[in-house]
Amino acid sequence: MSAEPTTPRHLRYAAMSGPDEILLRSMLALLDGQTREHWQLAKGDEQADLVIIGCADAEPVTVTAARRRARLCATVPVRFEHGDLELPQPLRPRSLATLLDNASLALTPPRDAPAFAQATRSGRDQDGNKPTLADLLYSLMQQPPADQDAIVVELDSRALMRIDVARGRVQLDSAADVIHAAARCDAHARAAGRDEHVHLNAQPLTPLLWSVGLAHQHALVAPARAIDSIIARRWPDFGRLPHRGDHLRMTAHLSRQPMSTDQLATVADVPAPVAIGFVNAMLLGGLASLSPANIQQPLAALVQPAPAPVARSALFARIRARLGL
Amino acid sequence: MAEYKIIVSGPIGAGKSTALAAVSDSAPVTTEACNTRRFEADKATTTVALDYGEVALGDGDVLRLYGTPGQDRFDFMREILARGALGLVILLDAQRPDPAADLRHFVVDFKLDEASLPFVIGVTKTDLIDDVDALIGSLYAQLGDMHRMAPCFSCDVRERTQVLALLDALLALIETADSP
Repeated sequence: MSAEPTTPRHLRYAAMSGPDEILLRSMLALLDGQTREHWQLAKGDEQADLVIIGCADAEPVTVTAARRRARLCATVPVRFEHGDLELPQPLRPRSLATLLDNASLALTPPRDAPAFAQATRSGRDQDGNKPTLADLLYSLMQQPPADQDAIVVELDSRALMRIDVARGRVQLDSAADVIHAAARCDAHARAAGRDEHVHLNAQPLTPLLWSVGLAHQHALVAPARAIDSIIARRWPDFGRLPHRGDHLRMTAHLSRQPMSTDQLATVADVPAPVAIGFVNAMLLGGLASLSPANIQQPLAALVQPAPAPVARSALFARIRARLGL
Repeated sequence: MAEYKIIVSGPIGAGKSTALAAVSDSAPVTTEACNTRRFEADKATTTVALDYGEVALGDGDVLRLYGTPGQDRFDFMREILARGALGLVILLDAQRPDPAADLRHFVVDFKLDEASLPFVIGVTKTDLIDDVDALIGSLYAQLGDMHRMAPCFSCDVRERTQVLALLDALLALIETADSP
């Protein structure tokens, strides 16, 4: 998060207890440069962008007047009145930063969503194919939108998810099985509107990319045209991502040398669609990259059995069986 | 009767003894002593010689699992234990001040930048930090600086399945290294 040199946002508060008032003021100073936009306290009667209503007793007329002098209102959850946003108690710098960032997003006018969608993330590709959800996510990961806070991905005009690529967070509106089914369906993306920002406590994006990639067992649009071979740059975080034994084997092969999906399927002894889904998951997660054709080795060189490892492979099979892998 | 060996290493408090206990057939043999270096890891006891567990493979064959001491004053044990090993599991504590420096230390200590001993990296206690991806990214950057590539992923050593995932990755790595 970095504050841009633009006009500062103005903050007001009402019904704050003495200690909370001191805390809020000091935290605001502490957060200088740490929030999406610069925030400062409103002076006198000037119109504020946000008012925070505390939980201390105050004359209703005072609270009402404070609310009228601000575009947005945040309340602490224990208060009877409901604001547009909430500030959890006790006050913490992190929760205040989250509130201010959410307020910034809510105050930002929506961008020209149709133009964005038409220009970059929707419609047919050069070959006339409509992008699927997996294609769309791949495109977003390859070229994250520099000027968008969040992207809404839709299927049949129904929101599936909101993605904040920069923070690697996603908020899902549909069940996991709907999203997996959508991996092969046509989808499109549009810029998020003012009320569609991604909550900072949304879930990590990586598991979604992994599962959508695995479920999409056709080559992604972009690599399908250009791909020669793939090499793993990192291993997936198998501590957090669901996986099978063949995923480990395929990662090990791809981390040693570049190979095509056909070669990968052969050396890892898996059906071609499984290898393609795996490569899709690796590409979506930014764990693998494309290699030039001249690095790719002939298939025969990759699958030539060596005499010594036969006994070792039997050993590994026994270890796996014994450990229940 | 054949014997095979896998080493589990890492800094003090990373969870080596717990990881061994998660996969060993029986309660591992430990050499725990009073931890006199509480400033390094806040736990009452620590391994001073080695931890030992085993998995019977049938026909008298056995997979031996050795956990090295975490403290550097016992680092002479590491090279001894690593001789003839199939592979190495390095566990790193995500909460330590500089896990990337810890990784470099163990890679150099085991001479992994020269030798061909396959190794995997498990990052423990990731539930206690904010940005796991950034930490794992920094570990891959450290590996890149040393011109090494190895599996590196989070691992809750209290979960047997997660420790097994690390071992499975190590086996996959050895298998593919065997193929031409």
